Amino acid sequence: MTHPTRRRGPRRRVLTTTVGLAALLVAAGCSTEQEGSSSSSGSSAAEDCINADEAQAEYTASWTSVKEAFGLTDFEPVDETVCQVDGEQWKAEPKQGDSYRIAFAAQGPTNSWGVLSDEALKYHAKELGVDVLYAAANGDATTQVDNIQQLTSQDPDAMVVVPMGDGISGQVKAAVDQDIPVVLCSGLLPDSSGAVSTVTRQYDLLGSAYAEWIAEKLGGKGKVAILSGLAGVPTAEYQKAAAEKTFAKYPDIKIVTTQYTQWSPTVAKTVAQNLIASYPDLDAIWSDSGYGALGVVQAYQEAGKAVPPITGDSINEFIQATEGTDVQYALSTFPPEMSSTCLDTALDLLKGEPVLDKVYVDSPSFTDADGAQYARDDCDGGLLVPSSAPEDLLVDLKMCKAS
Amino acid sequence: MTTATTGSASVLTRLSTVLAPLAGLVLVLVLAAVTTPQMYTPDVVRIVLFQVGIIGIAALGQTLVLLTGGIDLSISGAMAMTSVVLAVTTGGSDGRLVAGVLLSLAAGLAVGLLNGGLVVLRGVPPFVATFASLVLVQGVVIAWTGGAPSGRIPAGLSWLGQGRVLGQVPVPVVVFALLALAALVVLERTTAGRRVYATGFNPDAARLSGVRPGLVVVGCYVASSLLGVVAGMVNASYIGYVDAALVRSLNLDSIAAAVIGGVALTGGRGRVGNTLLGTVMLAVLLTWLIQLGAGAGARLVVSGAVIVLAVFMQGRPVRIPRITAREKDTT
Amino acid sequence: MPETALGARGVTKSFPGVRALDDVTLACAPGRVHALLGENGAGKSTLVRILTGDESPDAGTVVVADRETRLGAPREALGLGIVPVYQELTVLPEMSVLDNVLLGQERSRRGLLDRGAQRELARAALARVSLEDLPLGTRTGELSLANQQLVEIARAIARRSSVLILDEPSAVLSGDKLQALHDVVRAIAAEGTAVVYITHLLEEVPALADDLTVLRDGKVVSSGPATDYTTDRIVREMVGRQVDQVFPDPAPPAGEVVLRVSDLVPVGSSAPPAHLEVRAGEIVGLAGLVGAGRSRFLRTLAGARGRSQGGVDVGGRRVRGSLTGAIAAGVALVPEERKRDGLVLDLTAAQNITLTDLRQVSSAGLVRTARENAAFDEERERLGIKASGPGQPTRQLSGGNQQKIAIAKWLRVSPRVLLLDEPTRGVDIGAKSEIYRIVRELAASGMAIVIASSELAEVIGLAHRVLVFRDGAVVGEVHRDPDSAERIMHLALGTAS
Repeated sequence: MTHPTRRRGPRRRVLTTTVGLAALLVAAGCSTEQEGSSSSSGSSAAEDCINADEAQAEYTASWTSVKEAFGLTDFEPVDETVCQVDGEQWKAEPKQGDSYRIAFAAQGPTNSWGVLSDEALKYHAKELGVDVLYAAANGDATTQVDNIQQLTSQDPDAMVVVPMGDGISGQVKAAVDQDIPVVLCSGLLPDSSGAVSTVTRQYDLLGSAYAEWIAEKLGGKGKVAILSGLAGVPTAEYQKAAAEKTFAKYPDIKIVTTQYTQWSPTVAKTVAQNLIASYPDLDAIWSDSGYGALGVVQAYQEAGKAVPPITGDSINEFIQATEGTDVQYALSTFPPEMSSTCLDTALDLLKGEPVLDKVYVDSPSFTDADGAQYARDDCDGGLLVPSSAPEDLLVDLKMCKAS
Repeated sequence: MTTATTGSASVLTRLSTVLAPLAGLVLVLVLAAVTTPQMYTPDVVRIVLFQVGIIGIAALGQTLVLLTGGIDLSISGAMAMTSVVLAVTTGGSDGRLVAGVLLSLAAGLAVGLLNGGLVVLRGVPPFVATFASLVLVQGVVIAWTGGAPSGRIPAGLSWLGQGRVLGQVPVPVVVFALLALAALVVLERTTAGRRVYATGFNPDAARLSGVRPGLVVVGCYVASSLLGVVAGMVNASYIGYVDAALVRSLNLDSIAAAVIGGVALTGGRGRVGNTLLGTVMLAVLLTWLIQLGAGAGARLVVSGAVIVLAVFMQGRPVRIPRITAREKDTT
Repeated sequence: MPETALGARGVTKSFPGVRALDDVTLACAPGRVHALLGENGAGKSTLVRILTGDESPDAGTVVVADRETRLGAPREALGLGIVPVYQELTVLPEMSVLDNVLLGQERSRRGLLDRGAQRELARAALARVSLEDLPLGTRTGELSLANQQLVEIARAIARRSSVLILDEPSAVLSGDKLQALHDVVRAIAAEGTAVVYITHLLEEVPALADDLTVLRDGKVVSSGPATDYTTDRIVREMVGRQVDQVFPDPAPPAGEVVLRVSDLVPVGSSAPPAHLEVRAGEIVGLAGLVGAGRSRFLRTLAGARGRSQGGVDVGGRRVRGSLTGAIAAGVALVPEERKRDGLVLDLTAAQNITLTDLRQVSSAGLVRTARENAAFDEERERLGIKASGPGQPTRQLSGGNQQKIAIAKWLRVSPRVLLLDEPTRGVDIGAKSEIYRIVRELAASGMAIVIASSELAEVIGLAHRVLVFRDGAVVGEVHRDPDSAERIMHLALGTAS
């Protein structure tokens, strides 16, 4: 599981720290939900939940697809209650002219993830003939508070927010209170923000899926190293916790060390060189990022040793680097282009169509068995593959060459 | 006071700047031997040497700037910039490697001149000036690459980061050794080095002696940025990709290495040997912490604590000559 | 009421190489203004520091309210009601008048500032210095210098001082402002406070002082009611004995004019342009009170300060107005602040000596140790520098030897004009006479020398002629003769008829 700010870019560490708070809240929010549903089996929540069964099925589907992609036998979704929002409540005609004006409080082009997130939404808006009021936070929550305030004052029909931190909750609430439906995109905020719907990839999913894949690969027995991103940053810590919880189910799997890569291949390589020296008999490496995995692979290859099974997000560069090797891996993504789904969700609300309060985006997951086909030699190394972003957009952004 | 005791006091003074870091190094080595015996396997020693190389190259530049009483927070900016310039101009192909290297050095020169110019011509405090240029460099890189710096470093450069000399010694540490030797000769034996020390100790007196402190300071900032570029090339070729994540830690490490070794933040005081010692100690410490499995938090806590301790200890050697001077005056 | 509010009995104080005070006895009575007079370096400042507890005497005692008292720190003196007002204003410009008057003695009630009591106290103190109309909230920095000084005095009054020490309060004032200050001082004295008043402005004395004491070379020359003194007597006593016997007459300068200064005005100076010609082998002295503009003049000649007009020629060629320009033309300055400007104390003796011309001791950019050591040995020989060797850190040397190195470094570039600013400050008596010998020898070898000093005896003794500075301007030229000291002092003090 990945967070927007985890993506490459010179300001990544700063971004991660500021946005990390959002994830902390996510962790808190999720755990209370888990407690609630485990005690009451979700029945109480279902009472005021419209169309609960159908909504729940969509949620479960995002887990099932990963389960199938990784060939897992035992992988059940974390309890989560998803409901349908009463679309009629937000149904509205365009406030100005005959096309909708959607405000977009974006992360901004501070790294390649942000660029694609911003541009995919704009691209989709053009396709649909919708006007976008765009404001970039440049990864900063304080800037985003101002942005949302200004966007709200322009009275848009709906608003899409890529949340940069918990601190923006109040401003989001203010927008909703002015009858502007807000859709959160690629991240979460506390319920108090009043956002109508949240469109994101689930945080729990990847951490436990990677761990489960490793456990089954090793037959439930072996030595594992955990390579997390940044210590104390909730985005990283929450994935790590999900992994540790999964590993805990297997008494014979031993986590021999936990290290931090700063999501940098350079640091990961140095760490991996140390691992090779200290734990020559590692059986697998759980990594939360493709860049971390990239450094690990290099270190093992330079040392002339077989690379243990490894996980991470599916950056193009990693797949290219492992092409033609027998490195075993399991990868997935936190796709930036989900912003177009966020736009769709906002428009559905305005049209009065049924919308879920939590839209858990599914994205491709795969293992080394069919990884090679996803390599894109014509594209930038940092691209998350396979990308569902439109091809001409990727070319326009110079992330891929025109074919 | 007799000449003999004066002489021994000065030797003691000089030794004391080296003694603390040396004791620290020995302590870490002993602790490492007890807790993580694998520290002494060739593999881990090689990791330490690599770290010495990369941190040391940046720390040499930092030392020059510290000697003038400044500080360079833009070194890691120069490093990050180098990997982007290399990747973008070469597109990963060896054919344009020379152009990429020359362009990186030119960009480093520009950053150094900017730093020096701000400090000397406008009197901007070095901390502010170099931090501003760090942000500026990052901004230019983002604007230039559309926020998505990425790409490959030509394979022709990979010997610099991944190669070994005599089959065992990492190339970066050899590069560092050569650069350190050059810095040693320049600082200790040349007129330029003499001017650096004079400027660092007392810019007013240096100026009145006909030295041009402005030129000296600008020169040191330029050298620092250029060494940052070299460190950036080593780093980029080590991993082979643009790694924009690796920005701040090397900034801190380069300052830490110099200060731990005994280079004073106040200017003038410090030799290449101090930096070498500090670099080795820091590299051993960082590697040991990874071997221990300590988290990044612990890593920062230890680095920070060691710097604080080093700066604290620096109070000592400064005091000895003052006491002797006063005794001399009153007798 | 005590007979002596503040006084000294047999106070002696030595600093390295100099006896600053020698058996000084002084008595300041309550209700009277006591003027403390003397040349620069006569010991006035040291005496004030001892009377305010900032220094302790080597021998003798301080008398407070007729009792011999040991003052350990300025706090203790303040506690006894002895309040100094220094020449450099210590008001905080960003704070209000109220806060400045009550600085360090804020009234509080239950831990909170008692605004009412504060204002009352400040109001009363300001009234005593005729500032009763000043709004208490005014930012002090907006006031004129004269009023800032009065605020500072009001602060002293608010402390309920029994003794007020005013260190050159007249330095920043003139005309009716000065008159107003005098009125305030008289009024304060009339209420029973003893006022110690230090001044260089001799015309103040008859109007203001009840008593006066003249100090010279750390000793009391005379003391008594002000009415017993004329300005002539004061000047004669300040200057004291003639000093020719210490210095033989210099050989008359025979060479051509080396240094020609025409219409020179330093940047930031509003004084009239200065002119000066110095021949080869000639020594010209610059005299004047501290702050009269001697140092500024020398620094301008050396290119360390800009010129707003005029030119400097050496050997008939115009000198560029920069440090490097002056050095290239053969003009070298040994600056006043040896430790701050003259030397890099952390470098070795040899490194300091060669810093002015590193090319001499290097080839291809590399410093040749052998040549550097040779240069050091040469200067050690020439100037009699006592150091353990070329590698000894300069910081460890005595003041005299440091000064010799500060001179030696400039001899390396063989200057045609040598500018010496306070060359014997902080140097012991033995080293002093050696430096005098060196200066004479350098002149005899054909160098043109300009020497500025606060020690009258030194300039008169060394120089062929003396230019006197006052308020940034050259106010006269005095040649060597038996009365030169008094004429210089009259010129410097502005009391010349």
